[in-house]
Amino acid sequence: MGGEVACRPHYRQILEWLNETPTDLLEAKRREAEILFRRIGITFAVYGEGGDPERLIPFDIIPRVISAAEWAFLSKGLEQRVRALNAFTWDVYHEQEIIKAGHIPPELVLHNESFCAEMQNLNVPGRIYNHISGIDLVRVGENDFYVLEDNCRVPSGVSYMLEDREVMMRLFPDLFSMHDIAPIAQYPEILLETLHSIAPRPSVADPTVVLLTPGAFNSAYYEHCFLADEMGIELVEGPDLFVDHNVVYMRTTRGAKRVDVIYRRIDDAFIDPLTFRADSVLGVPGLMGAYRSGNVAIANAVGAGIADDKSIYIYVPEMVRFYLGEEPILKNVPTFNCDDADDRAYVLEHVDELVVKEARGSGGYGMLVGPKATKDQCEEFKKRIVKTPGEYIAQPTLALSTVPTFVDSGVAPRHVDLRPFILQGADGIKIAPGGLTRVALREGSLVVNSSQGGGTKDTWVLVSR
Amino acid sequence: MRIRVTHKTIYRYDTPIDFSFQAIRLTPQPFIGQRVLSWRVREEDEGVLPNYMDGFQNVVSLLTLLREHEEAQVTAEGVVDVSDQKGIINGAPEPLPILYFLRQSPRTAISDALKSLASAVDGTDPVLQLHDLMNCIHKQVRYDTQATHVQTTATQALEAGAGVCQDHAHIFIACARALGFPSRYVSGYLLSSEPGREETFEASHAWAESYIERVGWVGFDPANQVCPTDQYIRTAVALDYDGAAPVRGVWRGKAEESLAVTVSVQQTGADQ
Repeated sequence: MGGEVACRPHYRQILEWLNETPTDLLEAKRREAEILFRRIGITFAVYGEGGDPERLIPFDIIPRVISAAEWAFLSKGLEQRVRALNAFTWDVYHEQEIIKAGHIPPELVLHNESFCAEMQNLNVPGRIYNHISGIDLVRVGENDFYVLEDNCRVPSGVSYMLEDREVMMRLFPDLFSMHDIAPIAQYPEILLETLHSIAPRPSVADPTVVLLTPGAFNSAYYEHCFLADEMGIELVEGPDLFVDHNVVYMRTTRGAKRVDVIYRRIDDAFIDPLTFRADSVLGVPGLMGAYRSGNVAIANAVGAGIADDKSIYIYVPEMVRFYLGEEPILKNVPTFNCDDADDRAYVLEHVDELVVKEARGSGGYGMLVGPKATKDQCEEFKKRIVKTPGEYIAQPTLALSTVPTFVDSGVAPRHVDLRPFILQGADGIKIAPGGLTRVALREGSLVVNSSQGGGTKDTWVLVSR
Repeated sequence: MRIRVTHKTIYRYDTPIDFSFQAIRLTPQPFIGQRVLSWRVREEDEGVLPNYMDGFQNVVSLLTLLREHEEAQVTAEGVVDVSDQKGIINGAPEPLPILYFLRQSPRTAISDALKSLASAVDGTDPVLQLHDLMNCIHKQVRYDTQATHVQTTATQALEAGAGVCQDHAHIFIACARALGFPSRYVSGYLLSSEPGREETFEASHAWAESYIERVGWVGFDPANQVCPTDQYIRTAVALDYDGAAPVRGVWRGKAEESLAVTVSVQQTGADQ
């Protein structure tokens, strides 16, 4: 929907419903939603955002609707992108053909913080690295989507996607009966199938899968509990696991049980204190030995972050062409690399028109939205760019599409993004229809991060009849 | 030269602990000039330890002790035939691209002092440059086992003007990278120049390797001001000490760990 006048056809029924429903009823429903979320106990922060773990992210009661045709287009693009990212990760930890062919500067990969030498020449099960990918997108027009960033490490937010749907179905059963909406409730089941598919011992019919969490203080702990519970697998912390003779075991009341697949929600640096950060008490000593010996699968793979680094992002379209021989379906936002002299000169000149981001930051921190920033803020960022250019990238602001959102002043257009969750197992790629929609609740704001005043919406993909 | 190594490490904990884990990189691998006749890494009660290959293709032995213990005794021992290759490494496993070794690491992070040391190096020929670098470091950083500790960085050791082989190697690596030579840390053993003497520290040795166009990887030992000879056994490589450390351990419990190490590196057999 562009502004409040034009309306895309798949929003017609939503608009009619909004017109028929008095504002105070919407307000009552919004309060009811909040009570439901509190009762569920969902407290959450999107990856890397930190903040108050007891915080409730605002929920908007007006669903975001994606047409069947648009989703068909989008899911093809997502599948293509995820395949290319995976092929890239395999390549950089093996023959590095893309570097040899001159498509990406060697230093950018080899000297990257996210490049993990410990993964070199390891043949990971099923050749899969990013089993769960969260690709952040924005829509600027009909079938015109840009990828803001790829998340190939431990993307989170899927519990929000699932709970938003739950709450919406309870609040507005009538609205659901008016639409034919693609279901998403099967996500945990498909995630478990994906994790089973990479189990390294083919002879074991029922492999043991565990979810490795850093613990209750982690901002996404709710999601860890939720997913482990939904999949019916053990939620474990580092000390619950141990490695003996390059095999991973879980301590149970009935003795040690061999573990085949670890769905880890802890960062690479903490996963094995004998290999990475020695001060980590969250990880499992010797885990890299079991992994490199081929006795355990880890999702997402260690070192998978090399594909989602913001300085690598620029080369994703090139990856699609190089590995798949296809033209990229989803677009990249044109990106200036401040480490490059020409790019830097442009960025310093036009900082008030650009969005400047930290190359390795996340969560909307350390970010400058030029058109909304004060002169002082712009000057401050220029200084930072000159000091450590390699740490910054810049992008033009996009004319993001808006969707109707219920705010204090009533129903009004607000900017949104979308994080679909793409599952990649030995049995192929599966995408939960829709994803997590984040909405910038402040008028005119382009920043959807929950730490910056963002909320979420239920995301509907309509099924074509 | 045929060399026999016996490297014993006794781990002691001042109170009993339930489990401890050690990652041990003490296994030499064959390449041209280094032939491994026999080698094993074992723990007194556990027997020969399981191992795996890390990303640099070093052999890592893993000791997992899941019962109550106050002590563990690990012995790495074997016999290796070494011949002098003028420090040039051929036929060693090279899983990573050469350019990777221009990457900075925490222990070898560059600083102004390291840069100026590197820029003072004489010569245009790469081999001579690196030799000069080796000599400069040897002169500027005196051998002193008290001046630094296991966590010291290249910058700190240069500032102290003193250190052990690990520090000499870190300084060399940082400077060589600044000069554009991909470089790495090597840990291994050095045959004592005084036969019959049991050494504890310097027999476990560390040095550096730099990559020279059209020559390949060449070893430089700034602590002894020499390229590795037939007295050097190479066991592990990495960006710096952290990746090639002979032992890395973790244990759970409030205990303090102490190590008692004896290393014997002796010439042996027919070639004596």
